[in-house]
Amino acid sequence: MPPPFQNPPTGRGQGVVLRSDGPGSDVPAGWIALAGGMLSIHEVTKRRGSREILSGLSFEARPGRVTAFLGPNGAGKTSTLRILLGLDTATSGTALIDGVPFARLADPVRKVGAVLEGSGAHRSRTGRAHLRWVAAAGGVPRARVDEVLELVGLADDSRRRVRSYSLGMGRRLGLAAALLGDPDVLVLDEPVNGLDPEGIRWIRTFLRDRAASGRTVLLSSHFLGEVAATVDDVVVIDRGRIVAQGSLSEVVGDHGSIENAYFALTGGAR
Amino acid sequence: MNLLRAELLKLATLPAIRFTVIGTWAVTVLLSAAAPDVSTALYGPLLAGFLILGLIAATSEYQGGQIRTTLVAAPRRVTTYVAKVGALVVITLPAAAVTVALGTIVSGESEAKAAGYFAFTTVIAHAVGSLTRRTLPALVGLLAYYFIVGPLLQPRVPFAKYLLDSPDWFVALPWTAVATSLGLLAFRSRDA
Amino acid sequence: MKALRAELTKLTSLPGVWIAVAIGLVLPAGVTVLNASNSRSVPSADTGFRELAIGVVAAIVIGVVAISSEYLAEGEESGGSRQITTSLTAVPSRSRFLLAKTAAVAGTVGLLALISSAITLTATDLTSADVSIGTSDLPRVLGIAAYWIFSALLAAGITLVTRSGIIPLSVLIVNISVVSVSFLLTKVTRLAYYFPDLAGTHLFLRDSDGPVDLTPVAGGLVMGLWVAVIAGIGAAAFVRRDA
Repeated sequence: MPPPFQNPPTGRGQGVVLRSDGPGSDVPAGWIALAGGMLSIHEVTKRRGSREILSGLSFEARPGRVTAFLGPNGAGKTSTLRILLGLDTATSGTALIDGVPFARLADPVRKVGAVLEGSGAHRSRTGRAHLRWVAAAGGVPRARVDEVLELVGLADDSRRRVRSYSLGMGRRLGLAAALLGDPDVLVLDEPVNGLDPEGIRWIRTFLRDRAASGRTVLLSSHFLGEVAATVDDVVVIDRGRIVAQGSLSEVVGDHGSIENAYFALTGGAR
Repeated sequence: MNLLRAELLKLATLPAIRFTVIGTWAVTVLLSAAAPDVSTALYGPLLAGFLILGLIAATSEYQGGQIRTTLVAAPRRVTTYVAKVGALVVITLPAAAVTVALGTIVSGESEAKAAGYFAFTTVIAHAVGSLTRRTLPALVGLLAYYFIVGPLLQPRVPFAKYLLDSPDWFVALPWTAVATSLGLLAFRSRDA
Repeated sequence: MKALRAELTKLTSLPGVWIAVAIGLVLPAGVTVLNASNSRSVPSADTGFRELAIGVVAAIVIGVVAISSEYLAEGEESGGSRQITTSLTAVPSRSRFLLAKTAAVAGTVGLLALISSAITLTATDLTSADVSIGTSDLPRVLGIAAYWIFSALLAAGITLVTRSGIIPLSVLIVNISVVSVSFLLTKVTRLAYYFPDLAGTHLFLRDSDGPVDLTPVAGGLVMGLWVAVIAGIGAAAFVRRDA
């Protein structure tokens, strides 16, 4: 069993002013350029063969806010995140981070941390060796490897090979790699998937804290109850199209709960 | 420089790379003792070790979703690919030099040029691995070409000396450049 | 019987197996045609059969892939499960699972060997004026089938131990080449002629070029013994280890 996550640090290494107001408030326009980390998806379309996976998707994820990206399996959430991260190329449209495509960021490791499915690590490497090469690629000091291992609660398992990790430990390793550069932006695909209840609570507090320190969090999730407890803004997509976006309260509207809103919007309760 | 160091760390911490190099050295000692002359050993079965070395350096990237981590940390794909090939060459040259040296020590004959052949072949195998992204199909293709089809064509077709498996550096170099360019193009343009 | 049908379905739904089948059918026939059009190759009693010996690469690939596909980790995430988990949930008896696997591999490879022999030997008969293939060669065709089946099981047995296809594919494919490791080792010790690949060639070759001449039956027995020992070790490892 991995030891518990550490309590989240607050605004470590960041020169930004902490915002005192809670979730749901608007960010002053002039402030965004200073803090960085604005994610803008504009008219993104993705075709694979004759199949259109994304059809003219546009939305933003802003600094100081946790934005949730919701939708059924196969709706195009992961594809959108992959395009944002430059892993896949959009057929048309742009996905920018502070106005720049991901691949042209001056310092990607310090700007954006991302966890997509799984650990993102080779099975026969140790957890520590994995983090060491990512740190090297990002020019992050080696000491930071031990810090993030402590942070996600993998310090005692860091010399074991990734193949022996449980699903949740693999996810923690992925998160540790994403946090190496203490980035302005976190992009997380299903962050609570595979985590134990203690890990889920930790990540909720952690993400709220990132947003409170002025940073940007974009996550996809199927856990609607968790979403309601964590996020400020919501983007709902279905079959490659946006069906709703806005603040949590705007999207919930008079549906009463995010779950009711979700099923009404995606037609899932047929 | 950061990227080269990261790619070197990746190769150095992958157990399969270590096993391949050490295994190749062990087989070198065995075959150099058995073969009638050192060229038969060096230009024969030993090549398989370097094919595997180049191949798994490329395909290990696609195991466990590591490619995503790589491209999120280092999204400039051309630079990243060049760092990969550079790191592979940095590991391969000493491995090839030791292989040739072991052959010389055991057999008493020297065939230093084989080290270059090993290095070229390793980089070609890396390119093939980057194109297929999967280990076993690429391995079957490379082994079948270098050990079955190539040797069969060698005495039978007039253009044989210009083929991929030629030990002549002046033939191997352009092949290596072409293969690496194709690997780079695929790495740059394909969805990861 | 259900387990066998499941294994045949698994085997025939692997793209790698179909590529191997294509190689097994095209390679020996292709080499036969290439040799016939080449003035330097001298026809002998083994023309056609030497070419079929090269086609064994298909059998090796099928034997390896049948096992390694159960353990494939490519593109897979940590914590994810491999096909072997599903297989052993469906057929909990490990010995029954292995028996079904063995039968599926042997049947597929045997059939492939017979079809490939028919194509290659017809090509030999048509392209080489000095060689004629007749019904008297039937035992040698069965020898080819046995050689391919034994090679596939040898490959599968090694893969049961390594769980990865890299080592068995490398060792066995390199050994098909003219300058094989077995051949080089015959320079050190005559015992190398009793290695499975060299002993097995006596199943179908008649012009022995080595100092150790085995009858087809003796060659088959030596190779069969190797297969039994190595596949036995693989099976023992499979039954004992955690999946």
